[in-house]
Parts: sequence; structure tokens; C-alpha cells
Amino acid sequence: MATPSNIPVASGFLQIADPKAGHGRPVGIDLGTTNSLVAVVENGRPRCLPADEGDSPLLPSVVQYREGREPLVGRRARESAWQAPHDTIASVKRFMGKSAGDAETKRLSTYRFAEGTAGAVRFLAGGKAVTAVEVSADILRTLKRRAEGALHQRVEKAVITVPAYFDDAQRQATKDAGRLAGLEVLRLLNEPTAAALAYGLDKGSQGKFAVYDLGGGTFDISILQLVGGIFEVKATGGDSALGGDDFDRAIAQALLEEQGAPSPAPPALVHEALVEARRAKEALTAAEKVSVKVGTLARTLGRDEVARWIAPIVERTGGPVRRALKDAGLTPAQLDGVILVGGSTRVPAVRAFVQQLFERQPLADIDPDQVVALGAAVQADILAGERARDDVLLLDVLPLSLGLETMGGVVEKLIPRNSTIPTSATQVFTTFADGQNGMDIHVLQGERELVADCRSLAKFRLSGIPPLPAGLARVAVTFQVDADGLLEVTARELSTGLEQSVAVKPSHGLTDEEVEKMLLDSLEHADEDVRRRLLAEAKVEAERMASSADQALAEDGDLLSPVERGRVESAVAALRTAAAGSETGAIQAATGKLDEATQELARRRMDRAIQRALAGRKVEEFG
Amino acid sequence: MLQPLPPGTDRFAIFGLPRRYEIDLADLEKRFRDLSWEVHPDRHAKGTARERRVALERTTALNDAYRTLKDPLKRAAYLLELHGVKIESESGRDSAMAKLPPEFLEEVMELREGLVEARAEGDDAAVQRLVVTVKERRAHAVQAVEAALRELPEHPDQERIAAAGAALARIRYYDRFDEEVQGRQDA
Repeated sequence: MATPSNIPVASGFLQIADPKAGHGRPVGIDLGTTNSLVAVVENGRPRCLPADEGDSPLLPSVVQYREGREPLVGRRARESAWQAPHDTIASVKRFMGKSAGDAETKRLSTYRFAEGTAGAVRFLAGGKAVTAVEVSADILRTLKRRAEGALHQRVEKAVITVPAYFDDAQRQATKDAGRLAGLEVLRLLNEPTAAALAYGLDKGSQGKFAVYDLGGGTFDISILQLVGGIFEVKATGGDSALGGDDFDRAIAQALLEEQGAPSPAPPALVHEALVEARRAKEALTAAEKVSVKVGTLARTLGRDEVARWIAPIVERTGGPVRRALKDAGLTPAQLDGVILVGGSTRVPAVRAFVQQLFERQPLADIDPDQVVALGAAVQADILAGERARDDVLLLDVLPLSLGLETMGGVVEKLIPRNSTIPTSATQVFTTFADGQNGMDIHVLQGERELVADCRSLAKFRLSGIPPLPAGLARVAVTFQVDADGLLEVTARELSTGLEQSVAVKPSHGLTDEEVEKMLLDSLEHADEDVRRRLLAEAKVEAERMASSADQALAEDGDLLSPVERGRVESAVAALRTAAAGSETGAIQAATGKLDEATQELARRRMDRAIQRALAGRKVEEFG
Repeated sequence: MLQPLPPGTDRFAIFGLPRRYEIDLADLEKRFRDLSWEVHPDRHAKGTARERRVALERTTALNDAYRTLKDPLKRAAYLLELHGVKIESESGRDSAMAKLPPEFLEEVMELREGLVEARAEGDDAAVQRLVVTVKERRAHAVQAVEAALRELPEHPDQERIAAAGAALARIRYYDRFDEEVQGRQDA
């Protein structure tokens, strides 16, 4: 066999020296929070390339910056992190697409951030300020070089995976990192979809599949349907604060309690217990028993015992799974397969739970750490391989609902989550006050009912609305989400055709953690949200009723006797008092009372208006 | 080459379907997939800027139409909209909801009052009875929508259209009542 240098290896059986092979081999990259991997398709099969020392396919996503030297990336950076904690950036994925001003940025870590910079986060490391995009680019550059070394070939095109929940800003940041590393990003591919592709579901198989992805700190669930080469994402869900790290804590805690450690236990002992817990957890994926030693405690630990300790944590993945199934309109029995992704799915208790939850044996024959990168390689081959295949099409969804602020701080959803993209929606709004000449358009993303609980994506003002009585001017607001998930909002006044549009480019997008947190909150607060929305609506209606009663009294108050007038006025006062409170029922009751109290006035006003109209006509007719 | 949709193409026509309430969902799904193959932007990634724009527009229209047609009540509301009936309007006027007879509004008021009373007395069983009542009436309204719309193609008279619109409007009220019950369940 010829030395493969300069000879692109086609996916078929012939090796062809292609003069156009300037871009070399397309690769798939899993740019992970903890580890990153690079994979390539060879002879129709994907495989991971060595990415770190010792030919490990896992490159720890850790970058250490050193003044005047090349950054150190991978295991050596992680191992020497304790010597330079501020100069070593780990878990940079959490910072992608986030702004420096984001309160959460500061809480996330002990890094030093550059002061006074607007926009993206800048870490102070190795004597310079670096953005999350640059740190990610350093990881990607390392993967690119290692892949080129392994393939003896240039690597310039890549499919990079992102969590299904990544929003526009986070996706854009990931794409920028790819470009910065000298890669043409063929596609940003959702991680669960990549895992499904890796399982070769594209090879003529059909059905509905769940991808259960449990990592060190996050949990993701996606439901996909495959028919005739179309991968259709039906629903996504997850929990950003749930993962294998929680198992370690639960095991450590049980061990500490057993040896009677004081609470809180000394930090050194806690650290020892955590290290031992992790070791035991990993050993028990293969062995039935393992001996552990923490402080004065030394004993044998069985699989079942650990399973009991971590059961409450494992069971927490059930909620998002059930919701995703519900969103997809499926029961577990209707699924054709369940795919396991993420290192934590190696834990036997997790597998047992998944099996029980989905009523079937999960598929786990591909290494759960590698499966995402392998799927990305398959997609790279589809898009840019020597003999690009065109028998697969991915249909993705919007991860979170998009909406607008309406009266009373309530969010009106225009496009529900899990809608297939590209998509659009139009909603017509009307003016609230007479002669209102402008309207604020506030674009929001999230599942909660109230503006305060959703992520604000953009705000703009449509001005120049012609002065008309309340309710007559109509403004159509259109959302357009393109195939990349980018949103554009257009507002148009319907009588004049006055139009304004804005491409929504959030300077600080939602992280997948925030997205998931919002989703989880929406479940926890669904009831509370409806209550608050009903209250907000009742208040709006109350104020509308009270104002029109005021106006009627001012204009035609003479139609009422002092007693009648007093009744209306006290009903208005009672309504305003109720509306200042937070009892929806009381506000509705007071609104009803005022309605009753003004019936007579309304009738007399009507009569007067008719008389005036008739009188006017008489003047014209006889004049 | 991919062509833009003729202006005014309705959501049924996008799928090559007649304006009918009754739809074979498996067939709709198959049409959705076939059309996705044809129009999806990924399938035109190497095309000209115009082709890519047309692909985006066609796919957007396809996805939006699919979302409308696969849901029976959304489909019903859309069909009525094509017949000039709006269920709900931004100004609160000229809609099927605004045209509901006073007797129905009284019914809703009674239900709400019943709910407030049952709550005030802490009578959970009475709340549950109201929930069941509303569920039954909603089911009847759904049947009324379906019955009216099923015969619409053969008998496209205003009476049927109005009946379907009124039933859909009633469903919105029942859903709101339900929301109120749900929302205050643990209050």
C-alpha cells in the first residue's frame, strides 16, 4: 500500500490522487465540555483519531496559556492546572456566546476576567485577554494538527457538534472558533442527531429513536424519527445540572456518613472520598465488587449498594424523558430503539433504569464517549466526502419557544418549541390607547408565561403608527427562523404598510444550561405561571373598565342622579382597590360589579347618542 | 429548478390537498417528507442565491403548513379562516368568539361562579364535577366542529360555517376555564 501522504483516500476502494484535494479530508469534531474528539470516515466506516498523548482519542478540553509560548492543550494542561489555576481554562464551552456582563459568567468560575470590555467574555490568562471563542479555537487547532499528523493529509473542513439546545449566539461562537482555527465549518450538527447517525440509522433502517445522553454534568434527551433517510427531530429536553458528578457526590456522602465523619467533613477527607467514589463507580461498571478506603473506613462495596445510593439521581432523568416523549406524542412502547451517549451511561444502574423507563434494552455497542464524534464524521462525509452521498436529510427543530411581550408583561408565544425549522409565524396586535403612535416590540425566548422569566432577545420600537382610536391600528409582527436557527423579526402597520425589521443577534445568547433551566422552571412553575398570567390579564381588563367608566362619567355624568353616580363611582373605586391587590377572583368580581353598575349609564348614553344623531339629521333634512 | 409558490397558495394546496377537514395523517406525513426532500435548503446548498432563497421560503411555508394541518383544531380554525371566519381577533371584534350568544356567555359565567364558590367552600369534589362538566361540553363542541366541517365540502353553506366557528369559539372558552382550574389547583 502506498504511503498515504498527499493521496486522499476516497471512501470507495480506489485511492485517487485528486488534483482538487486542496481541502484534504473532511472530519467530524465533538467539541465537548470535558473532552474533545476528532473522527474521520475511512472505507465507509467512521473512526476516532488519536488526539492526545498516548494515542488517546480524548483530548481534555483544557487550555493553559503561558507568556511568550504556545498554549498547552489537553491532558498536560489539565494535569498542571494546579500550578497555574488562573492561566488554565477548562469547560470553556459554558462560556460560548455569553457576554462579560452576564451575571452567571462571574458565578461560573474563579477565572480572572478582563475589565471594562463590552460583549464577549475575556479571560485574563498567560498575560493576555482571550475570549471563549479563542480558547475553543486553540482546542480545535490542536485537533486539526493531530488529525493531520495521523492522516498525513491536510484537514480543512469539519462538521462540529453542538448541544441540541445551543442558541444562535452559541452556535455562531462555535462556528467562529472553527474559522479561527482554520477550518471551514460545513455544518453545526446537534449532538443527539450525530449519535443517531453514528448508529448507522441512515443505512436503510427506519423508526423512532430516543437518544439518552448523560455526561459528567449534563443530561440531554432527544426523540428522532427516521423514515427513508430523513432524520426528523421530534423533541428535545434535558437537565443541565444532572450528571455523573452527582453520582460521585452521593457515593462519597454515603461513605463519609458510614465512617461517622463530622458534618461538614474536613475538606481533605471530602476530597479523598470523592476520588475514591469516582474510582469505585468506574470499577463497578465492570466488576461486581470493589474495595474502598476512606479515612478509617475500609470495606467492600457492591454494585447493588451503589445503585441504591444513586437511584434518586438516576430517576431524575425520568422527568425530561417523559416530557420529551409527550412532546413527540409517543409512548415508550412506540419507540424502535434507545441510544446511549455519554460516559455516565456506562454505570449499570443507569442502564437498568433506561431499560425500565423505555421498556427495552438500550443500544450501547458504540463507545458512548466517541459516538458523537463518529456521527459528526459520517455527516462530514455526507457533505464533503469524495463521493458525497445524498440519501440523508436532517430536519431540525427550534429548541425553545419564541414570543412577544403583550399587555401586562405576558408572553404571547408565536412559535412553539420543537417546531421544525425553517419556520415563520405572524401575529396581529392592536393599539391600546387612542392616538397611540408607537409600539414596542419585545422579542423573547423561553417557556414561561411572564416576560420577567424568559430570555430577552431583542427590543425595538415601531413608530409612526397613524393616530387612530384604540384597537383600530393593527400591527402584524412576523418571526422568520431560517434553517440555521437564526431569527429575523418584522413589524408592519397594516393600514399604512409602514415596516420595520430587525435581525435578532443576541450579544449574549442563552447557554444550554440556561435553556434547560428555563424549561425545567416552566414545568415547576407551570401552575404558578397560569395564575400570574390570569392575574395580569384581570388587571388589564380592570383598568380598561375603570378608565372607560371615568370617561363616561366625565362626558355624560349628568345623565345620572347623584345616588346613581355615587354607585358607579364607588364601584370604580372598589375595582381600583381590588386591582391593586393580587386576588384574581376579587378583581374579576369587582369588574363584574362595575359592569353592572354602569349598565344603566350605558343605556342612557346610547339613547342620547341616538337622539343627537337623529337631531343632526333633522337639521340637515329640514335645514 | 425550484420555483416559488404561486401567490395565495393555501396550506392545503402546498400539500396538493383539497380544502377538506378530513385528512389522512399518514398520507400527510408522507407528503411532508417527500416535499422536504424536494425543497429543503440543505438540498439546494450548492444552488444560486436565488435558489437558496426560494428553498428557504418553500420550506418555511411547508413546515408552517404542516404544523397547521396535522393538528385537528388548528386545521379546523384555518379552514374556517379560508371561509372568512376568524375565531379570535386582536381587536375582539368580528370574531366567532365575539359573536357567541349571550346564553353561552351566561353559561360560562355560571361555570366560573360555580368554580369560585366551590373554591371558597373548599369543595374539591364540586370543582372536579365542574371540570368533568366542562370536559363533556368541550367534547360535544369538538364533535360539533367535526360534524359541521365534514359536510362542508358537499354543503358549503354559511350556516354550517357559522356553526363550526361557534363551536370552535366555545372550545376556546372551555380551554380557558380549564386553564383557570389548572392554574389555581394548588392555590
